[in-house]
Amino acid sequence: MKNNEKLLNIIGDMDEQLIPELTHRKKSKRPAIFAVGGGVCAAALMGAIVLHGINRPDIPTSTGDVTLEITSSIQDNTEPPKPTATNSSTTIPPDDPDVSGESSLPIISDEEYAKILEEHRIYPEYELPTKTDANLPHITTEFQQGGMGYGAIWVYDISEYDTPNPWSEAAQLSALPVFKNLSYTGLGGISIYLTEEQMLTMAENVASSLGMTVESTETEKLSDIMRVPPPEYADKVHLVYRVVAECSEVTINIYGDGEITVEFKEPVRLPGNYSFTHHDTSDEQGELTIAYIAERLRGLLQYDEPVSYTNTDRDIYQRQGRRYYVYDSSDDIIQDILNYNLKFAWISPNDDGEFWHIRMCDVLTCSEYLGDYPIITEAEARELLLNGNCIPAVSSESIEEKDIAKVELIYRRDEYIQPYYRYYVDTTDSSLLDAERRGDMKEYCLYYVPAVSSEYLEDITVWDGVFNK
Amino acid sequence: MEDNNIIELYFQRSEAAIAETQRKYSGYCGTIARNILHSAEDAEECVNDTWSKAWNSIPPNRPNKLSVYLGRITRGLAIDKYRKCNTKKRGRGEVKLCLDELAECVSTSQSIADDYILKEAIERFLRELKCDAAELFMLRYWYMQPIKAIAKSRHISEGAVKMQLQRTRAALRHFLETEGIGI
Repeated sequence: MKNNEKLLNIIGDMDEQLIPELTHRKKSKRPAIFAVGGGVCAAALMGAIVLHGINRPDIPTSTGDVTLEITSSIQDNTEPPKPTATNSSTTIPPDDPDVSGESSLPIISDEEYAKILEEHRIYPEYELPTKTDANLPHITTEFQQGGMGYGAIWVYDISEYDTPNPWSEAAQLSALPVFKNLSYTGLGGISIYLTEEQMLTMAENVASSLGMTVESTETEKLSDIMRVPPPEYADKVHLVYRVVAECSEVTINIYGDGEITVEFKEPVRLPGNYSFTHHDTSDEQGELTIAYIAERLRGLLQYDEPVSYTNTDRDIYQRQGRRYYVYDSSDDIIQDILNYNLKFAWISPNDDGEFWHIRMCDVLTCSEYLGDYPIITEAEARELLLNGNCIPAVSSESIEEKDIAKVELIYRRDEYIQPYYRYYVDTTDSSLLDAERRGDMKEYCLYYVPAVSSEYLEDITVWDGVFNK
Repeated sequence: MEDNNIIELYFQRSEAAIAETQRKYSGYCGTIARNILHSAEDAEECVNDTWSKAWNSIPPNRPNKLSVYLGRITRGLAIDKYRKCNTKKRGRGEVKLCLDELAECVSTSQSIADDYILKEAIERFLRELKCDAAELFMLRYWYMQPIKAIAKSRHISEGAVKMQLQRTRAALRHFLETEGIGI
């Protein structure tokens, strides 16, 4: 018997636990609303939301001024705690009964939550389609310019910067979905797509999910934020950039791309057993706190499977800054990756450790699905990086393999919403931060390699390294 | 009827066991057989033989998962029939395609000696795979589902299925090389 026949027979004898059920996998419970191929995304017609054109807020974008920007506040040095993540099953200790007379976030019952979902859903539900058409359109990898910050992080050790990114090379993904960003304008992070009516509806739903009422609104148009728009936008200055809705307790901002921010006019002091600071909260404390807030805000977040986590890096004064996130995870690895990158909330304390601000997005609700594009492996991407074929482009001698400290697969939102391998490369020796100020911190510069296979890419962005254009 | 109750009928030697099994698993076993044989007549014959084999093997066997137990019988019968009938004459069937694909994982020159070692190694390999990759692999090589059917049932493109299977086969080959099995 030939070996392949033997292998086929042996596979037939596999442990029954390894044999899947022969059933159709049910699609995600969110109904399909994306358009396949050309045309306006159906989601837009349903008041979908486009994410503001900046990338994940935890990483400064490699655009804008060359001057170094402080990305986290000043703090006293502490031992670098390990970032941790928790899912919704984390046990949240009861509120400290000794804390009296101080505000807290209200508990939402299951009945109230069900009612909120039914009557005040903020982002429309959606389901990823599957495009089997072999003729996938070509896409570009041009990074959206604008924004401030240096494309690097500072940490004592790369292990400080840890996140629950669901991607790993072991996932052996061969293709990933790519979308057209319908809100993209190329105007330095300004995103325009939703109508004023859609944004007002969203604001109402956000308020209602918090048990509040919108008392007044104000609309900001492109003409209000751009004195001299580019010629191609001369006839679009009436388009809405932002709607601001005032409630008695909060200010809600809805942006033209669907991003939401909620600012509490009176910051919320959490029960005494929760620590919620930028700099003085340990990993364990941060984990409990963000889980508590995510639970209390579930009416606003409306996530099926919330996963909360924190991560940290350091500022130019070596002080550690902690950021708090929640995202809507999924059992499906691809949906999980998409949601981690594109459907999340960033929850912030003020300098007094009080809860005051949340920013949330669901990018894909205002995009157009183009198809599942074949992707290169991490090994292939690494080779491209070492040859200088990356963003920003560098000479082939610039990056050595020994300096590659970390790699992730992430999604960027530019004209296209597509996956990239993001490499953290040790550039400490060539850092712009002087040695005295840098101390024992290491600098890791961020480099991106498109994950989509090159036969589908137009010119890869070749960047001359100059931030200001 | 629950599987446990069906199995009890086998142990009681009640003929209702066959009827209940047929009612519940005709479609399931038929799908497996048709994936392999592409002949409704041959597939039906295999399914009928499955009930007979089940009757003769339960007891003493008490399957943990009746569907897999029956599916395994059907698969084995169908592959045997495929080999006997030489379905090359009927054009490319899934069995030949699967054999061609699996040939990427093993050497053609050196015989794999020990079935048990290979079985245990592949089980380890599959357990270490991500769920999606392992599932696609088994749908293709245990159920011998066509690529198109896998893509449709899993709501992914055919290209994605092919590429995932290719990567898994490459990983299996590497794994078997590392284990020193048959390469």
